[in-house]
Amino acid sequence: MFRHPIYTALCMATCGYLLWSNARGWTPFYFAKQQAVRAMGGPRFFHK
Amino acid sequence: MRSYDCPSCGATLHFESSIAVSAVCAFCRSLVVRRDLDVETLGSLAQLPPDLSPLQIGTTGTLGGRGFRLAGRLRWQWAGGSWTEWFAEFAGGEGYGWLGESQGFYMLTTSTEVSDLQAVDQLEAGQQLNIAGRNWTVIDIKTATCVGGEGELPEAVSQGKARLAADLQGSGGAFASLEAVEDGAEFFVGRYARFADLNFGNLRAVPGWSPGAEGKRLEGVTTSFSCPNCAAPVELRAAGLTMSAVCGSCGTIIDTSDQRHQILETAKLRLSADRLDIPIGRRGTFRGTEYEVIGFVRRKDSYSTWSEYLLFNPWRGFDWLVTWGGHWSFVERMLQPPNEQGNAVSDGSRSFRLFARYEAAVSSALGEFYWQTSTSERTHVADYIAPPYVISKETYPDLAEVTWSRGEYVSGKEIERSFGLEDLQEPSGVYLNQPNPYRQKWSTLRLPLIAAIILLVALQLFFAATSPTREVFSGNYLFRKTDGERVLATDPFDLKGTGRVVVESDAAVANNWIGFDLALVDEATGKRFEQDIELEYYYGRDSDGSWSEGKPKDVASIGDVPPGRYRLVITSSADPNVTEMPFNIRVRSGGLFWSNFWMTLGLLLIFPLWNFFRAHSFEHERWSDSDFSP
Repeated sequence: MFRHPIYTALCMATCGYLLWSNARGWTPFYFAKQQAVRAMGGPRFFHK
Repeated sequence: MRSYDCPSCGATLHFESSIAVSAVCAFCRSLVVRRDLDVETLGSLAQLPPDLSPLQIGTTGTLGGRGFRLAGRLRWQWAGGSWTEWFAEFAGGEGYGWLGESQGFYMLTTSTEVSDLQAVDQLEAGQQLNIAGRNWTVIDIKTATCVGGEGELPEAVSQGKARLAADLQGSGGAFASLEAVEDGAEFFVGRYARFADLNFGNLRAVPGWSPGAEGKRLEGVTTSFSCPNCAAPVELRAAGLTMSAVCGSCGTIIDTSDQRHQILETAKLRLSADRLDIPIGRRGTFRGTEYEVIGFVRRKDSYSTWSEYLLFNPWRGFDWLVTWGGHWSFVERMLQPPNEQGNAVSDGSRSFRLFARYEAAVSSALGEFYWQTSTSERTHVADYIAPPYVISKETYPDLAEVTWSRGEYVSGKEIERSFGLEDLQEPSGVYLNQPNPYRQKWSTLRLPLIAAIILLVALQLFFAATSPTREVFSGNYLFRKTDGERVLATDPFDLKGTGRVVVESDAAVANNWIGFDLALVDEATGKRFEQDIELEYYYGRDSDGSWSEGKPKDVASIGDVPPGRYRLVITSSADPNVTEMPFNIRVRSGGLFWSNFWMTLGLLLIFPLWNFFRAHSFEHERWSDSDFSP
């Protein structure tokens, strides 16, 4: 298992991330969207 | 032990063996045959040239629990080489056998009575035989001549006696020989053995190889003679065991099977020694065995040229290092032929697939060889691969001989370390038995990948089971155009624990739309979490029938919301044609973002998938050089 230390570390990191993100209800997609909304200066999205 | 006076020279002859009927006088070389109490001379046998065999008269050994002692030997020579047969007297007066010594491996056989044997001169190399219930493959048919002998012998063999014999190979390392005799054939059966299998004792010190008095190996001992063509010195490093040498000065092939050193071919294989990766005469310890490089052959077929280095060790025999394009393989003779099944062979532990069939010829050579090399030498070769191994079947049509050898891929770095070399060519391209590094990588990637996937699935299932969503708020509202862009705030609701919040909305949209900008606001801190929902639903009918698009309800998720008392601030807008539209809002907390699971799974699979495609590409490149690509 440890013949690929970087990949093994990646495996451990992904499991750790899933544990953390599920516990906090966090997702990068919402985080990115919120940052984008703020960058555009307000909560409004573009409606038709 | 009985002693006699040699009828020729009067020297005392000792018969230590009770079976031996003849002995070679060590002084006058007469072949003395004993008959009851008397002895007589039947010609003479030439003295054998000094060689590097570790065996001598008096050497003892055991094979399969059967002890023996070597009492004498004969040297047989054929058009392409020679070998030694030792008279092995079994312990306890249990008869005798012959221990063949050739190219560093051994065949111990005893005569066995079998009726209805096939005539030897009607056999062909490669032919399958069944003798006494066992299957055999004919690997070699040759007429050999006795060129000398020494010690005691169980029969009287005269100098120059010719005999026709076929060598047979069976399963499990079995070896047999069918020898033509006056009234048919005689069958000798036994098995192949390596030096280490025979538990030899009372061996002789091998000049240049055995530790000296100080326990150190002597420097390599060479035998020199002058090239009969150009008079340049030619050195032999395995004198007595090699059959030909190539003059390093003029390229003439010289017969080294005896002391006459006659020319076999004139100045055709000229090759400059400085073009060799490993110099002739270089010694090195490769995988625990000390070898000396004694010969070099460059071979070619219709497509490419490759190089073969002949390695020698007196106790191990001859092995090869084969190189092409910076790739190396260590090749040894197989004492047990693999099983052939169509375009595949099996050595019992793995299956090898046919990779190439070709005819190989010698283009240049240097050093010495255990056969009589020639520029007209043609070999039909079939290579079967199971990287890092390769099995080669070599058929010599001119010699009625088939040999099998097995090679293993070796890194250039290991060759450099073993033979004290520097800067060997880096490998280029993909070689037929080069291990696929991506397949090797997969074998080590597999465990962490599977472990991580199992852990990811377990974690996700655990959270899915322990994080249900629950409703924390719901309300019904009405959008009125006259209110303009209406902003409303829901009643406050509590969120317990940091987590995910889902806002669900539905409205009676019909060929129009309504949109909500949502802000989840923490009453205590004023922190806002924004999202938006847009509901639209259009439908109608055209020439293709009825159609619809959009949907009247949707959800929006908000992540990482800390616990607290919140209100949802809703800013709504709608299609200009809408004057009023009721809509519902529900807020739920808990649940999982499955995007995290799929994202981590994808992340884990990127490297293995990349590795898989590289492995496939590597195999594609390997087999692109083959006419038998699967």
